[in-house]
Amino acid sequence: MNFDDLKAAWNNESDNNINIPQNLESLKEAQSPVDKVKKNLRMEFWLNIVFLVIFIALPFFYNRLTPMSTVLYYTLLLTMLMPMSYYLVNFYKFYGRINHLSINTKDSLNEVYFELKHFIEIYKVMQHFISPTCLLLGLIMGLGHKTGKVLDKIADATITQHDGIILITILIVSFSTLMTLFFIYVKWYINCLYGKHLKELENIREELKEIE
Amino acid sequence: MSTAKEKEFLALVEKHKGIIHKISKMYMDNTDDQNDLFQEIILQLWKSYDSFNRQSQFSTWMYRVALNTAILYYKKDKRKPETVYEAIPETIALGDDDSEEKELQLAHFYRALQKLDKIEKALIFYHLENYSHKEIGENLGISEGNARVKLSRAKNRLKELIKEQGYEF
Repeated sequence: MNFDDLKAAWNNESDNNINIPQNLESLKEAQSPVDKVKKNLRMEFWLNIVFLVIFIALPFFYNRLTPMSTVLYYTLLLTMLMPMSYYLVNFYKFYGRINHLSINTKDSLNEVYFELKHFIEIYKVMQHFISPTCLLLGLIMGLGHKTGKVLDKIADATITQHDGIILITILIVSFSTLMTLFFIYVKWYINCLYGKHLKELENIREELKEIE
Repeated sequence: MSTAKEKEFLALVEKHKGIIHKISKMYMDNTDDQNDLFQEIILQLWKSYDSFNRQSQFSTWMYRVALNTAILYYKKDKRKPETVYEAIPETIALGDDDSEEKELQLAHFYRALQKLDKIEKALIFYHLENYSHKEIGENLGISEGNARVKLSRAKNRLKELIKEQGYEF
């Protein structure tokens, strides 16, 4: 055999036994990595909206906050809304952009790769920015009426130096531990949902690199 | 219910279904995965159909979308832990000697292809479809010279892989 034989065999390959679907509805849901990423994005978008609604509505149903802690709660929530809005706008743009298969292979690959990479970075920043706020919101809700007292106690202890060092150390260690665990979790979560697709795209891009 | 656009699209796909089938066989090593990729290509062609500029040939546009889909696609994680190739029969029962030989060549060709990279498979595909180095470069987004070098390497690798299967090349 040689390549001419192979071409002849290739051209003669029969397609009589191949059936195409009679309508497009019968086709399975798309399976490509790009579509999987889009599916995950959709899921994430709705999860974000649900969490936001829960955070906004929680003080109404869980009536344990004093007026002061309610103001503190909604102020924190507002600061969280800004990076979230930025993320959601970017998400919307990204979602609409990533599916250009009719351009050449290199451009198509690059487009998906860089869009995905850019999106992951925004996602990370957003998570890192909102996670301490989420923790504080949870703390306020958990402490309820005691929020003011606890805050006063912490401030008092710090100012009067009465057990202040120990208290501050405990707070810093607990906060750092929780944040570190959260960041590890975010890294793992992003890798599961998007990282493996990025790695796969990276490998294929390597194959297309110009030979020096 | 099918719309006129959908019917027109399906008629064009019917005309070129052999190519989609060949690409699926090039990129996937077992029948289940090939069927999944076959469907995926049709789906992606349909999703991109609006971008088809009717001044160019449908087949030219289709090759690009189909290959890009195959390149970006990969197997489901849960499926077979390792590839189990179907046995290649020593002779193929149907047809005359010439068509038997051609089928056998193709069987060895498709098996060897599984060991090539995704881009190498695309290069071989365009070569078998008689694309020039310039056209291959344009479709892949690389220079003509690079397309020539990469194609030559892919052909050599393919040749070696077919020989490793004990088939004359």
